[in-house]
Amino acid sequence: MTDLSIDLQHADLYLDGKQILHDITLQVERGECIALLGPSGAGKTSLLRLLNGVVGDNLKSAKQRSHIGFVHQDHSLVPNVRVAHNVLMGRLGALSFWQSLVMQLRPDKKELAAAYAILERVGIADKLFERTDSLSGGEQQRVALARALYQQPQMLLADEPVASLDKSRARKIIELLHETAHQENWTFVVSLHDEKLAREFFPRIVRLEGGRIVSDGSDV
Amino acid sequence: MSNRARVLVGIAAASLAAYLYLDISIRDLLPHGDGVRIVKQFAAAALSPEANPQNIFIAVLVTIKYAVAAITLAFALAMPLSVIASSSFWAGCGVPCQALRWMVRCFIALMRSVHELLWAVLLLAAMGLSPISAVIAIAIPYAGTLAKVFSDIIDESSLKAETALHSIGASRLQKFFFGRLPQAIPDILSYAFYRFECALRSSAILGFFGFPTIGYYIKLEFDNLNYSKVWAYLYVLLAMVVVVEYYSMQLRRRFVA
Repeated sequence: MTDLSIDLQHADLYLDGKQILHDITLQVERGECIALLGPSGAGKTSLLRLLNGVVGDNLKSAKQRSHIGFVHQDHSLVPNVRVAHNVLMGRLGALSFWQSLVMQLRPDKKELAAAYAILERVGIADKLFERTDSLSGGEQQRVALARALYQQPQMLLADEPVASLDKSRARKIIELLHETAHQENWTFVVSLHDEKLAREFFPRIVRLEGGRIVSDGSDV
Repeated sequence: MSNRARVLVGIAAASLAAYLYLDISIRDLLPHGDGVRIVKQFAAAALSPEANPQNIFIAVLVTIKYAVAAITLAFALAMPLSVIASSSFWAGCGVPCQALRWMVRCFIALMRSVHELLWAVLLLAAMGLSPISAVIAIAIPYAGTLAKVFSDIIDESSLKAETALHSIGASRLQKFFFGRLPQAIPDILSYAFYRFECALRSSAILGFFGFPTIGYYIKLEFDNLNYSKVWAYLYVLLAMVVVVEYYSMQLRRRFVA
């Protein structure tokens, strides 16, 4: 089992020669849930990518990343394949190329049943065999969440995962993610723009501005 | 003068220079001597096409068979070549991978830089007038063109899904084959369907070299001055291209939409 608690000490992040994050110190225990808040361009997405280990000085191996779920703001799905295939892609990191090829070309009943169950949890079970690009933006966002849930990660990073959903649906999804993270003991870091939602579910809120952490805790 | 204006002026100057250098005169457009009579006879025959249904059926069938065989072979060659020639397949790979990629790109350029008619001449000399010479003559340059265009389509596909799969630990092959390639498939199929129309025309033209496609009958009737029959074959060729275009459009809609 990989230890995926977070321990950043005075970390900086440079992309294309430009400093994006400054002096980031952040510790998150295994199983802890935190929300990132901040205006656009504050560095929330960059911080999530740093935690994901795809940028920065301490890049994570593919094996380590296979234990980290990542829900992207722009869904980042393959548009012209069925929803089932996008959901099943959540486990690519745990499979060999040939296993994943078989899974993508001929998913078996067990895999489809698991994908169906996850889609049921996010409220779009009836879309299992629909083409992904025929779905609305909100439905695609839920497919992206389903992909992350199907992955069964140890840490879940979510970049504005409910940005394209209405308020009641957004609340339900955050509740689902929060609940699942608690049940499965996942570390859960989510960036949100809805402060009310963040306060309702997350005892610890980290605020960012201009690439720096300006506050960290429940008293913000 | 802006860069764009400079480029436009350069293109215009090159075009003008080409016409001046070739010494083209507007009078050359007019048929001269016996040409006027031939043009009149040929144009008049357009209104009274004379068909031999049996020959037409055989010619159409052979033309389609050659085109289908050639495009299938070209597609089968082009797919793996296009993957190896695409830069996205080798992203993050070292110098040996890039060297292999450039070798394949040069090979593809060689395949498509020689026209199918020239390949036909070479293969006729080497293999004689067998159907396989015609199929290979079309398939080689078509595979080169398909591979070049397919690799460009693959490289221009959206990076987003691939990035998402990278973040959850997918391997390089998984990212490419499940994140990038599926997005390129509709455009790849669309272009392959278009090239099938071109393959029909190429197959017809190879008839001028003696292969029994529709071009063979066109040349035969033209040499015998049977312009009415020439027109019948030309109309059939046109109808064939229109029908194939219609069906390929339906297929494109089904796969691409």
